[in-house]
Parts: sequence; C-alpha cells; structure tokens
Amino acid sequence: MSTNDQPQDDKLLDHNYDGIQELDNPLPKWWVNLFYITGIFSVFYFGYYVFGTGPSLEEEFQASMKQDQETQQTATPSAITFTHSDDSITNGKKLFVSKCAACHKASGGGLVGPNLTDNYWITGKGTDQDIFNVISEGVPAKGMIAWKDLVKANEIADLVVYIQSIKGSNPADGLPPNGNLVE
Amino acid sequence: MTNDTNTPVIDRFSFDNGIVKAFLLATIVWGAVALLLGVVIASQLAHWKLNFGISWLTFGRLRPLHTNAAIFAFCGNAIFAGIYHSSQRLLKTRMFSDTLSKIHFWGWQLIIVAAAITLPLGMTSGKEYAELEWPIDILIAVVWLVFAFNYFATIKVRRERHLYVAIWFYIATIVTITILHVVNSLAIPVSLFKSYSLFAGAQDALVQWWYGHNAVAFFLTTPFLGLMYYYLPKAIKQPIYSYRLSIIHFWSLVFIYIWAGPHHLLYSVLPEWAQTVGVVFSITLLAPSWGGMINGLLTMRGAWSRVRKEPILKFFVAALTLYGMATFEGPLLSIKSVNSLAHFTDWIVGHVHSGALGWNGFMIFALLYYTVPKVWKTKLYSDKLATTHFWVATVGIVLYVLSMWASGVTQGLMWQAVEGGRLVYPDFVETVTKIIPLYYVRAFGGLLYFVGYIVMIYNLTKTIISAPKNVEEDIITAPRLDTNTLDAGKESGHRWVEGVASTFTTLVIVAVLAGSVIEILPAITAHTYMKPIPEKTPYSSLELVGRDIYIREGCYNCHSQQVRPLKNEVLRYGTKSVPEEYIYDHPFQWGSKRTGPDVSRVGGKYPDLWHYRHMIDPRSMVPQSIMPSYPWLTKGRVNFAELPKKLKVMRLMGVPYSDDEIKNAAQDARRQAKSIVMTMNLASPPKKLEERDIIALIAYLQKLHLKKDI
Repeated sequence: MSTNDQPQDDKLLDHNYDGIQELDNPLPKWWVNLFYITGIFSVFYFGYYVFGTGPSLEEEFQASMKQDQETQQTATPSAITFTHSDDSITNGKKLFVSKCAACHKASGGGLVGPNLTDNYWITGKGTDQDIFNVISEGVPAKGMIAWKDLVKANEIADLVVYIQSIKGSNPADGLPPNGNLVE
Repeated sequence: MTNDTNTPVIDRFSFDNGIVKAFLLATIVWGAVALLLGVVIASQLAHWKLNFGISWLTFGRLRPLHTNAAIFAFCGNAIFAGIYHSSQRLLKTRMFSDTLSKIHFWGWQLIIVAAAITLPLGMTSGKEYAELEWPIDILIAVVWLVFAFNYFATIKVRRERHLYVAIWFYIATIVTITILHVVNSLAIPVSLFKSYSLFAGAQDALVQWWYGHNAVAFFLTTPFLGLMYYYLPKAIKQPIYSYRLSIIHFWSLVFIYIWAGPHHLLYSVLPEWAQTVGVVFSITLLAPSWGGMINGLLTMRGAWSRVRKEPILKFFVAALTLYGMATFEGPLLSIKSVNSLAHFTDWIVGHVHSGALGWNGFMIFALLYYTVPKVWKTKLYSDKLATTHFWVATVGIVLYVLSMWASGVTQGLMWQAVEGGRLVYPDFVETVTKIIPLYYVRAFGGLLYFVGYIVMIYNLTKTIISAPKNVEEDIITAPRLDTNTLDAGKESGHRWVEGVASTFTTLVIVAVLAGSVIEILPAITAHTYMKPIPEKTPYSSLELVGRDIYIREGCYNCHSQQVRPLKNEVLRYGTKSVPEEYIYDHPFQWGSKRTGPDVSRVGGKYPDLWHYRHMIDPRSMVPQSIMPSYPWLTKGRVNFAELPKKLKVMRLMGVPYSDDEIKNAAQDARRQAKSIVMTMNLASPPKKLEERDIIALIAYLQKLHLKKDI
C-alpha cells in the first residue's frame, strides 16, 4: 500500500451504485499465490491422510501409548517401604488434607467415605500394604477411586503412614464403624 | 412499437428510512444487553460467587443468552439496519412492502424477547448457538422467510439493472441461513418447551457444527462483508479497489466456507475423512477470507491520512485488520496438532472474540456512526467521543484476546503435560486455579469494551435528540427498469449474471448445497455410526430425565463429553470415545469448552453421595472449584407423569424402548430414585428427596461411563 500508486492511475469501470464506483485492478499476485499454495497443500494433505500412508488417529494414538509404555516406570507395590517417621506423617497429612479430606473429612472421621480412625475396615485388614492397595487401586464398587495415576507411590506410602498415625484419634463427628473389626 | 416506448419512464419515490431507524435503535439497545451479559458471565468465571446461587443467573443459563444476544440480537439487528438502508439505495427502490418490513422488525424483536425469557428459565434444545426451543425456531423460520420474500420482491422491482457486490453477499446470507436453520433445528417436540433433536450422537454433532460454523460464515461474515462493500466506499468516497477480486473472493468464500464445519470436531469420533475435509477447506479458506480484507484496505489507498482524523475510518481499518487476524487464526487452529492443544481451552474463546468484538463489533460501530446521522439528517454529536470509544474498545479487545491466548495455552500445556506415563497435573482444578488471574484480566477487558459502548450510546442519543424534527423524506427520481430494453446481447459472463437475480441466486444455492450435501449426507444416512454396543444401553427413564436437567442447566457450556484419542486425555479421563456410545444421545452433548473436566467417564467414579454434596456445594468436595452451586436441584420436582411421552418420542427416533418400559416409565424412575436415596443414607434427608431433580441428575451422571475398549 505505497502512496505512489494512486487510485486515479487505475482503470475505472462504468459501474455506479448510489455513487459507488469500481476499479478494474488485477488480483494481487501474492494473494493469488497464497490461494494456490493453500490449495495445493490441501490436495496433498487430503491425499496423504485419506488415500495415502498418513497415520489414522488410532495409529497415532497407539504409537504415542506404546512410546509411553517403554519409558514408563511402574512402581511395583511390593517394593514400597513404609517409613513411620515424622517427616512422612507431615507430608502425608498435607496430602490427606488436599486429596482425601473432601470425602473422609480433614479429621479422617468420614463423610462420603468411611471413618479411617477406628479399627473397622471394609476392604483388607488395615495393614500398611492393605491401605496402600486400597488407595492405589481404589475400590470402584464403593466409589473409592484409584489414585495410582494421580499420586506417586512414595507419596501414597506417606499417606498410609499418616492414616496409621490417626488411628484411635476418635474425632467427635466421626461416622459410626463400618466393615469388619480388626483387633 | 414506436420509439416512444423506449424512452424510460421516470419514477418518483422515497426510501423507507423508518424501518432503518427502527433496526438501528434495536441494535443499540440489544448490543448493550449482549455486552453486559458478557461482562457478567466473564466475571462469574473469575469469581464463582457471582452466580448468586440463583438458577436463572448461573453461567450455564446466561452464556447461551449472551451468545444468542450478541449474534442474533446485536449483530442481527445491525445487519438488517444496514441491509434495509443500503439495499434501497443500491437497488434504487423503496422496499417492496413496508408492512412486511414491519412484520420482520417486530417478529425479530419478539424472538429476542422470547429468547431472553426462555433461556434463563432453562428452556433450551442444548445445541450451541441454536439453543432456542422449537416454537421459537418456527417463529424464526417464518420471520426469516418474510424478510427473504420482501427482499427478493424488492430486487424484482429494482431500478438498477446490475446487482452490486454488497447485494451478492446479502443474497448468500438470506438463502444459506434459511437452509442452515431449518436443517439444524429438526426436532420432535415432547411439550411446548421441550423437544429432542432428530439426529443423535456423531450425526447430530456433524449437523450442529455444519450449522455452527456456517452461522459464523453466513451471519457474521457474509452480511458484514456486504455492509463493508457499501459503507466503506461511501465513507471514504473512493472506488472499490478491484471488481475482479470481489467476484473471485465472493464465490470462493461462499463455496469453500460451507465445508469447513468439521474442524470443530477434530479428534472426535466423526468419520476421519470428514475431519480431513474440514481441515483442508479451512486452510483453503484463508485466501478467500483475506480477499475481502485486502479489497477493503486497498480501497483506502491514498486516504490513510484521513484515518487519523475520522473515527469511522478508524473503526473500518481496525475491523478489517482484526477480521484478517481472526481468519488467519482460524485455519491455524484447524491444523490437527494446534487443535489438539487449543480445543476446549480459552484460546478458542479469544479467537471468537477477536472476530466478534473486533470485526463484527467495530463494523457495527462504523455503521452506526455513519448511518445514524444520515437517516436522522444531522451531524454526529461528537467526533471526539467516537474516537474515545474507539481507543477504549481497542484496549478492551487487546486485554481480552491476550489474556485468553495466555490462559488457553497455559491450560492446554498443563493438560498435555505427561512425564513417565503420568500426568504432571492430575488434578484438573490445579489447571483452573492457575488461570483465574487471567479471567480477571479478561473480565476487565470486556468491561472496557462495554464502557466504550456506553460512550457511544451517549454520543448517538445526543445526535438523535439534536436532529431536526419533522424533516420530509427526500424524493428520489430514477428511470424505471424496462426489461424489454435490456442490452442482454452485449453482456456476458459474470456481468450478465449480475443482471439476472434469479440465476445469481440459483448459483449461490448450488454453491452452498454442494459442500453441504457431499459432506453431511453420507454421514447422516450411514448406519455404521449407529451400531448398538452391549456396554451402552438406552437411558433408563430416570437417567433420561436427568439428562434433560443436565441440558437445562447448560452443563455442556463447561463440560465436554468426549475423550479424544490422545495420551493425556486417556490418562486423565479414561477409555477414548467411540461413535457407538452416543447413539441414543438426542441431542449430542460433546461440548466445545472444558472450563471443568470431561464428564463422559464420571459414572461410577464417585459414590452418589459425592455427587449429591458436590451439586449443592462443589467446594465441599473440591475446595478450589469455581463451579456454581446448584441448591435448587434439591427443590425442583421431576415430572414423572411426562416420562412415558419422553420415551415414546425417543422410540420414534429409533431408541429401542419396549412397550413395557414406556408404560412403566414413571414407576421405574421412582424405583431407581428411591434406591439412590437409600444408598446415600443421609442422616436428615430433605422431604421427598426421591422426587427431586438432583436424584435424576445423579442417575444420569452415574450412567456416563465406558469401562473398556470396544
């Protein structure tokens, strides 16, 4: 849009609509080229994905999942150690408040999920490993979700340590016992 | 025949400026409403308490009202004002019928008022940008056809032989909107304010986004290009840069636009060839879109110094530039890899608003500042205030668009982040908390735009008040067009078509139907997308009514129901979607934005009690949640008596309900509701909880799952 190509140089057509006139300028070259390039790109793009060797969404998806499995470090539950230290309890408490309190209450006394401070267990017998498994794999039938993809294994271990530490705290508004008594 | 009959008859007539004034005033009023609603819902996203716990004020109900008001009330009335004003002058005739013009005006306002009442009450078809229920849909069709008839009759009685490019765009608008509206609104009524979309699942999605995308094309683009071709050369008093460019970009735009709809459904379960068609036509659309922009900008050659002084020209330049930007961004977002990041995020919201606020808004402001003084036969009250409006609105747009880009890219990257096979941000709410500050920036940008608008209202009100009263309409003289004396033999090619309105219109219809038929017909007639799977049974009667509540509350405005075949989505939500799981979904509810997480795998994830507490107060389950509270769901009562009818309508559309299921629909629903209430085992449940909306909604949410790959 340089100022030296003034409208008066262009060929004026004999069109007149309510005083509006039209020039007969050619299509700008770069614009025509842009049209061609996008058109040619589209033909090849369409050919590649619909008739050619372009990967389908399913193939792309499978490839990304496979690549992921190769790099994935799966934490095997048996390799987990439970360190009953103050550090673990502090860390576990923090996690408990942010992730578990919505359903089990900050006190652990239970709300949507069961009371975790008594000696009654619905799934397992309340050993470190049992609690770890419940958190990690969830209990879908009871509405407990699996946390293994959301929380790291060593953090789940900290949670287990914290939950064991509040056993017998007997919060005032806790839910009544549910499940089997484990002495 | 004597030579005398060849002497043209000179007609004396006047233009109908009354109808133009009416539509201009309606534009000004509804624009304020649409923008104010935008500021309100933007603020609700920044600060959830602004939902006030009142059903008709929540985001899910107001967002459809905002979009409908902005598109159909604000832009709609502006388009009509411009079309009635410019067409009479371009065709050298008064509108064919003043009565039909009035019916069009009052009919359209009635539709808007009906929308403003029904949408906040939750009466919605649940299809984006087409939410209005069937009686209003019929009214829209009737009013639109009145407009179309009046318009084509006006063309018929014109005194200008050739149709100017603005008229081409108006014709494309009128015929295509008719087709889009009628096909996408096909539904079977259950009651006066409830209907079910005729299409289901993937097929419904395809039709809906063919409509949605082309509402952008033929309601927000073609009519505005028409307006640009009239008002820009009028304001700048220079000829259009290139007649040839007008022809090429008009036909390519009209033909190509219609195909691009599936780019809204990339990575969905839509047939992949249709998705690829959507991508390639979106990319090819770049040049036709830019054709309009450059023809406008080049028309201003040699007059750039005037842009500094004249606010109207400022609005034109900014509108065309933002149009160019948005139509570059569109093809970019259609590229699959970009789309996988940007889709469902605020980037799309930013993209839409650079078009809506920049292109449509600024074009309307230019139109108002130009036309209001013209039809009231006076001068604009203050050029200075118009310039202030321009700068305040421009800063508003910049804040809006930049904050939404930042928010969209931030959240998209957080969603995608996967390390060692695990999501880096597994809690969805973490990705929301992060972008809240940007929501405040966006709301502020929107507020600035609104403030600029108020300045304009003041300026235009002053202009109208100070206009001379009782001015007589100008008498126009023009030679009558005598069809016998047409120099038909001398013309050929496009110039000839411009003189024959019926041929021109037919060619437009062919151009838009080509893409529509080739793209949509195979998918909506193919039964491969409608194969039942044992994992997905039809909704029980209680789940169905729960789904109606989900639609009523506008949950789809913030929650999607499709898991794309992407690693991070499968890790976050579960099994990727398959077309078969949606076959009973009339209408589909895939959604287009994830302000909250996808819900298509939420069934069975949490206990009923979790949902119960979460609906009443989302913060009780997710402390940082920005979701509105829905306390009224524990008060509203399910209409059990209506259930057999709902099931019957569903069966009419192919959902395999047995006679017994229809007959016992009410009892079955009551039984299922009772069992949910029992399971929750509340200490002190509200009275008759088993009859309340919330229980039906829980039943529906628990049905949303697909456990294993198909």
